[in-house]
Amino acid sequence: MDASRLIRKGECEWWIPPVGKMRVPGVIYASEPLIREMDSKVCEQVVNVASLPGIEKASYAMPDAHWGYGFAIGGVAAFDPQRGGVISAGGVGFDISCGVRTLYTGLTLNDIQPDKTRLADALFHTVPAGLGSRGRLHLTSKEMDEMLAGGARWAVERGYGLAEDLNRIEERGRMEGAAPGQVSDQAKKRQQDEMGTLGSGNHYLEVQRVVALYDAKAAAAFCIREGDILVSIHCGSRGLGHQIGTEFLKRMAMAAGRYGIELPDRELACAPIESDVGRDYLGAMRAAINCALANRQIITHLVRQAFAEVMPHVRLPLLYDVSHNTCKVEEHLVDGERKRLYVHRKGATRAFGPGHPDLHPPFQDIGQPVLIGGTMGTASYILVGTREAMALSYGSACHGAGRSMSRHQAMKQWRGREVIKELAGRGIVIRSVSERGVAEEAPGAYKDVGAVVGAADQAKLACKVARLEPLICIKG
Amino acid sequence: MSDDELGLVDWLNAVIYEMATRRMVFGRYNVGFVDGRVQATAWGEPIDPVRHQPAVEVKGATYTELRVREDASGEWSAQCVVDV
Repeated sequence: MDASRLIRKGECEWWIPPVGKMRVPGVIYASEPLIREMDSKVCEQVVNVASLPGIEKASYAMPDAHWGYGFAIGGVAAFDPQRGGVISAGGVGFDISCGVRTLYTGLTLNDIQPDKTRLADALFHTVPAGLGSRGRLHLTSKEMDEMLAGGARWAVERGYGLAEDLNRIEERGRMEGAAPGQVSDQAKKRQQDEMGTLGSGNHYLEVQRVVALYDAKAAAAFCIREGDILVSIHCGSRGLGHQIGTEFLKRMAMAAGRYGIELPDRELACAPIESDVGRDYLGAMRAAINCALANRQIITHLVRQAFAEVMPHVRLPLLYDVSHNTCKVEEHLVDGERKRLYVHRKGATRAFGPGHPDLHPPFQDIGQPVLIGGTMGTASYILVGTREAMALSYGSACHGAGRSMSRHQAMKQWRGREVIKELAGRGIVIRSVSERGVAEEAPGAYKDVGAVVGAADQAKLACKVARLEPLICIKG
Repeated sequence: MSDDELGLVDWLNAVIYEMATRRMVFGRYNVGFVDGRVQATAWGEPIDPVRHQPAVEVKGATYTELRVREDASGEWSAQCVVDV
């Protein structure tokens, strides 16, 4: 991206002043090298989102932003229903409530080193991954509706995981206001056999080691020490979320004209929050959030089963679970006025700071854990939400490294088998059904996650707490 | 958005849905128009991860770079970006 188009307001803060149909400015949080590397389409998309009805304050992009459909991936925007604000399926994304959850193991490297290969095999056999894989659970129509209304709480009631897990999940494991009746039969059919499956693409299950701490106070509050072994799960609402995204993208594209919304780009398909289509989407999207929360809860149960096979004494309590493709109703301060806004985060993590009323112990005093996934050969990070982010980005931060190369380019550059061998040489065990999938996900196809997280830290969107490096990675 | 373009998105989404629910990959298609509607037959086989080496799951068709056009020589082209 050409930085001369932007006004630099800070080391990691760049503004696009409102011109033409923009109702608010655009704000991109990134270091200068990240800005130069960023696709110029991100700028275009930030500008387009800034023109949508009812947008408040600014159209934001996080440091890992890249070109998406309609909204950039890494885009954050909030809309006020009192001012004709809209809700957008493209502003949430297809993989609704895709997210990351991290579990403690209480182990160190020495504990797992002798059993690393057995553990990798047990995890690979226990957690279904990859295109076409099926879960062990087949939901009846009644169970499907209960799951869509109940989220992770439903899963815990069914025996997947522990009641104490729920306190460590956003919305305490259940998104209120879900409307399973607004989820089509097709979406439900796509999900029937997919509960407890990881999926494919950039989704993964990793065993990781804490290799560095940056904030002793937050690390102590999160109970993380250097050398600890953690497990992270990255996946979302699977076929159900994809189908809901598909159906509402079309419904919104068709309806925009009816509501008098002039779309700068048809991919920005949206509908007024206070409209039939808007309300239907909200109910269906919330049901998909519950589906993702239930899915990660079931996978957690499977991970615990796999560990029990190899290391029967190990417990795996939950550290935290974050979602990064959502639209949530939140209260925010806009020009001194408290407003109830519909905050879209697409490829962006909620990052509430200390004292936020939606956080509960032990995170209320310190801020929520912000879990950032990296690549199978680099690192993931744990950050902590800041008070400043509430004003900077509606309490939002980046969500991952972000791709720097297309899947096609990556496949031409690397062979899966070689990537697996190279990582094995560095002590990282990869298990995947598809070598091609590994090539497409090669660490070199992503931006430097350290630079992305560094920019988020410098901009005060969220502050670095710990760096995690992979030991085992299960890919779909 | 033309009807043809909407039709292309609908058709691709129908294929994605059938792939997902039947757990199949398709390799041959016979597509035609009957009374203004796309009617098609697809041939394929159940997904075999070892043999097919599938990498990503297609989540849905988008309206990005969506185009269905006939050029001056009478040749048709259709393009659509799918989300993976």
